[in-house]
Amino acid sequence: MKVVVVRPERCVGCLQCRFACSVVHSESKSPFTAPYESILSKPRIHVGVTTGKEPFPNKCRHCNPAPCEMACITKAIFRDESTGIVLINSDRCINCGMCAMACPFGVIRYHVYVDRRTSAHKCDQCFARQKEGKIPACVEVCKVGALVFEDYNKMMDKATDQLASLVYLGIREKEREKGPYPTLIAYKNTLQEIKRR
Amino acid sequence: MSEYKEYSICTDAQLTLKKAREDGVETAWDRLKKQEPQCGYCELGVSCRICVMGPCRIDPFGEGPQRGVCGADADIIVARNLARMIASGAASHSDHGRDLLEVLHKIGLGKAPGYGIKDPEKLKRIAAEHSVNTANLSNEEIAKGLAEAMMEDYGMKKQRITFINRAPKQRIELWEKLRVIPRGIDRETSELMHRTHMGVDNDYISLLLNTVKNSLSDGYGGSMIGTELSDIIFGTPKPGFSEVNLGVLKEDQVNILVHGHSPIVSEMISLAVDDKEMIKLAKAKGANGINLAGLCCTGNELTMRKKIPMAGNHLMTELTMVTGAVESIIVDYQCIMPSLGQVAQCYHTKLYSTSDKAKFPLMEHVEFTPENAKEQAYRIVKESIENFPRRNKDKIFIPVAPVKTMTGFSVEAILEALGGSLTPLIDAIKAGKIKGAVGVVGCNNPKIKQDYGHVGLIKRLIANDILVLTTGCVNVAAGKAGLQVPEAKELAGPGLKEICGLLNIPPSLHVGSCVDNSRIIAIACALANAIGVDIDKLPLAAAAPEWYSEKAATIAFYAMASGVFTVLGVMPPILGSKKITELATSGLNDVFGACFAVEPDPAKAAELITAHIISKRKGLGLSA
Amino acid sequence: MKVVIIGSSAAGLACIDTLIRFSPELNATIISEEAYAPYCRCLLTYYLGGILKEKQMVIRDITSYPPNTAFLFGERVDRINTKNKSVMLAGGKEIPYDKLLIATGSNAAKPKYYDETKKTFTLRYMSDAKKIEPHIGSRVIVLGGGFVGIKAAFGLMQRNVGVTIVISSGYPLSMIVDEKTGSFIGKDLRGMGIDIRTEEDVAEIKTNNGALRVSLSSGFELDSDAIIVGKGVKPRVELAKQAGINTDLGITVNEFMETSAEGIYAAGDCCETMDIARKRFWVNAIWPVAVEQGYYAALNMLRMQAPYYGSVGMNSMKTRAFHLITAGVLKGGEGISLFEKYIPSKNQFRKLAMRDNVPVGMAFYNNPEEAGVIVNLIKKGTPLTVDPAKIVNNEVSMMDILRPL
Repeated sequence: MKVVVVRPERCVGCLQCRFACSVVHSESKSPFTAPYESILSKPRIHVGVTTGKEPFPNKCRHCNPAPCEMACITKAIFRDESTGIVLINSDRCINCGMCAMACPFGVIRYHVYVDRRTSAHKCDQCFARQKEGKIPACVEVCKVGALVFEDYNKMMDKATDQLASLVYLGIREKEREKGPYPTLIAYKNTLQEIKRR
Repeated sequence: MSEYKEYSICTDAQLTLKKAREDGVETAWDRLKKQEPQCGYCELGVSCRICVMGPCRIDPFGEGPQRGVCGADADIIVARNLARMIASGAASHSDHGRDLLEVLHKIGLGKAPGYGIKDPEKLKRIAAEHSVNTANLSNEEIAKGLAEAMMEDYGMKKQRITFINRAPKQRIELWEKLRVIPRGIDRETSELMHRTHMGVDNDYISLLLNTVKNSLSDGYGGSMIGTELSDIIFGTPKPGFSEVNLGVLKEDQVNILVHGHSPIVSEMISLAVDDKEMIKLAKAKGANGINLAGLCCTGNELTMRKKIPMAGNHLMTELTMVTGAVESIIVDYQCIMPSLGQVAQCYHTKLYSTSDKAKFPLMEHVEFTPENAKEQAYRIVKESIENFPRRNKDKIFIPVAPVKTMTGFSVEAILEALGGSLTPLIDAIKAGKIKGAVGVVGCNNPKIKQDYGHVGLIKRLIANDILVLTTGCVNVAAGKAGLQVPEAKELAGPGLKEICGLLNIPPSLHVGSCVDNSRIIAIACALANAIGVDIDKLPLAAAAPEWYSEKAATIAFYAMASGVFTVLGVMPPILGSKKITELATSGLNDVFGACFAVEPDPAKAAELITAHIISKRKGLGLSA
Repeated sequence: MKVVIIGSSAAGLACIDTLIRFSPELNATIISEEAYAPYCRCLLTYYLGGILKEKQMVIRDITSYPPNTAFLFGERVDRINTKNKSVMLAGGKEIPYDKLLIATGSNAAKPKYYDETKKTFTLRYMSDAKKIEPHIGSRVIVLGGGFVGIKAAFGLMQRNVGVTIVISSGYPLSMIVDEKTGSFIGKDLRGMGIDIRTEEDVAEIKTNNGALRVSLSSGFELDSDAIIVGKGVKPRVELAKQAGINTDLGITVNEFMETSAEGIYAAGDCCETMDIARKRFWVNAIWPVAVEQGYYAALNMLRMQAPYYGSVGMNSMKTRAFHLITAGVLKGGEGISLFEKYIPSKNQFRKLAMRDNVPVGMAFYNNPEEAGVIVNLIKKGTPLTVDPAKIVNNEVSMMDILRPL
């Protein structure tokens, strides 16, 4: 089953994923008109920042079992068995806040939905887009490969191959040549460390 | 309180930040936090918005797009972005010089009441440099002639701007070989903008060289003209004492702050506040007098010439109003945060913009021209006095006492202190009493703990017997830390301490505003010419530990191009291009005799600079 | 395998859903003494408040279950026959089991003055709500400052009923939070128009033409149409005790949710588990905890050997004015150090209780975004890698916690 795999070390904090998420969940689905709609579509992926100023993309993992589903008292949160995606039925949601309490990753927010009621709100893995054969919007716009849409097992197989090669070559830790982005991150960490002195 | 120590090393900043939080006032630090994480593409310099086939970005991990729509790779994109930064910085300084030129011209025409020629000797010297006839002419006539000659430096008529000739001949020859001699101040900016248009200059080396050219048209052009004309019109600074930090605000007086860059506005304001009628009016309103203080570069100009105190640097500008004791802030242009208006809303401070080029939200616009400047200044000062009764006297918070500082070290003043020539300085350098000199310049940046970079670096450099010259926001940092008084020689190494004691100067000299970086260039040129070598052989360096602005980038470039090793505390957006990063940090050494380094830690920066100076000394055959 | 589940609320339903997911061909019977389709009792206050209709409270569609799953409604279990491995229904029917889950839940505690003829009710079952409904007029007294009491008060307020909460301690939620936090909440509740009387209890209830005149211990008198009591719950352990199964505070279970009787499991309000924050056995009578325990009971019935790591009390209360999330223990106890930060201007606070470097309790007020991260750290007993003072001050983003994990 394809899942969205997050590689936070690749995230550059451009926030394109948030913008795309808002746009595809808006009424008009156009970046030019979405910001002007009367009920603003809010993004369901959150990019936090660590104290070392590194960006961290945080979205629903569609856990199995899902703590939010277990905590929901109206059964508004349910799993679509065919895709494994955990969805929120906003008609049933009574905005009680139990799901935010249960979510170990802090990805649930509360916003006004189309019928002007506030209800719980989280990533739906672009359920509607997937039915049309498209990939989740956040993955589509991420140009650094921080978000990828892959069959989980294939992803793990690739990782196993990589690890196997390294072990074969006797290399304990991957000695990557320092690309520009890791250098930038190291510099930002230095700035923070200096501030703390 | 401990959390505020993370933002600044200055007590006045920490305390007013705390009050600002309590008063619900948003500051630059708050806005930086909200902006994080900042986009990595832009920080690496690999995002391009120059045309609408884009916007484009290059994946620094090598998997995503590696070229923009037009085909530009990371090297070209970084070079174009860097070029535009320098063009903007050069344009800013160019305009600054141009406005002073306009005043000089109007003085020549008799149309600038309130302005005059305070240093006629310098007028004649500079006129001679520009081949303008001075014999048997009145000051006004010379002013007109010089103004017209300088206007040609701005345009298309010449093949070389005049002040370039101040550089040592070896340097000029190098620039000629590299084809980076600036032909006209505005011409180079215009051409660099053209080069960065899509489909024009797509060779990153060519772009970089022309970026250098534009920066030279600033350093030896707009900035230098700004400095020299300000000296001619308002007086060449002489050493003297003043005060610095928020404590210069007086609880019992009308406090007026000037912010921005051009002495054209601030000098007129200082005339008005000294006027007897205005002082009488202030007393009538219940104040004991009128207290004028400066912020940023225009503050530097006033303090250099008139020893008017300085209330703060870049990151202090919002916090001054938090004291509740500021009646008005008068601004012209550059480095004025558009957030000032919303801060003023929480207090009684009135804000005035004075330049057509710089309008801000929630500020009253009172336009200054050379003709009406005096009149407008009086009007604003009167309104500020009338604002005094609106103070909430229970909520005044001036949390510190002012610190004494010494200022006014123009090139002429340094020469006079040395007895009329550079020989004593050169001897001191040869003897190793002074190992070398470093210009510590630049701004504040909330990414770096305020003033930590500046003070940390200066303290370590002077301890290594290295003379420090400071401009811009660094002056406020050094002044607050007590480094700008002769007593600070106790913190210097033995050699520097001796020299400072002899000449009764501080180990860290206040040389002026950011355009006055041209004074440092002038000294470097003079030293090089006196010894007979190129600037890059001298034991000199430059550092901008907390820079933020494009102007600072331009200054860094003309320093490097003049042969001065420059250490930056904040990373410029170039990492996305390996080639440019390598060039900047080492390759340029082979071209200009100097390069850049990025080091935010002042301790490590001091080590880098000291090692560099020692190696230059060795190169000249001097002791380490 | 034949599975019998006593009780069709949180734990029972979670158990049957999990069993079906892993083992759809299994035979199951779920017995509920209530004559209603499975509903969530947490929604009763919303029902009383007129926000939800009875239909909307139903949380399972019985018809969607496979044919070998039988639901029996309105049937009481009389006793458990451990020798025959069967349960006896009140009507006489006997149902055999291979595995049994006792998910009988708990009953609302009834104070000594409880008297339905004097319109004093508890609010635990749908039948209670139906009893209360006709009596709701313009004023209602709620006894007890716990979550049930406050949620009931808030629910009634939605119907424009004037509510007075009578609390025997000094501030609301005194069982869970400390005084400062409690007063904060009290202030917001009062701001919403709910009257709160602290350090009071009911002394006497007099009826007067159908209305009630209630005298409190201080002597203060209130008129009311009804009294709703929310003074805690008592686990229903009678069936287990009768069958000789070990009970203490609740039915005792091992880490596989199995009772002292082989093949008999317990989950939900009726059983006691290791409370990770309190470090002792405790009954955490909370809906999501019951769901979790039902889930683990099912896994273990299927021999998956899934040890239950323990429970932690938690609650989320969202009203128009505030959103409070609490978890673990915030007061008393040896070795607990508290970290707190109040932001009055935003009406927000964060409180963290630590035992050494392990978080054991939290309360986030009007700051729900990433509360779940901390709740889960408490649940897993994970030591904090960042300074707790920084977490309450919001100086550290949740990313610093999530990223290394």
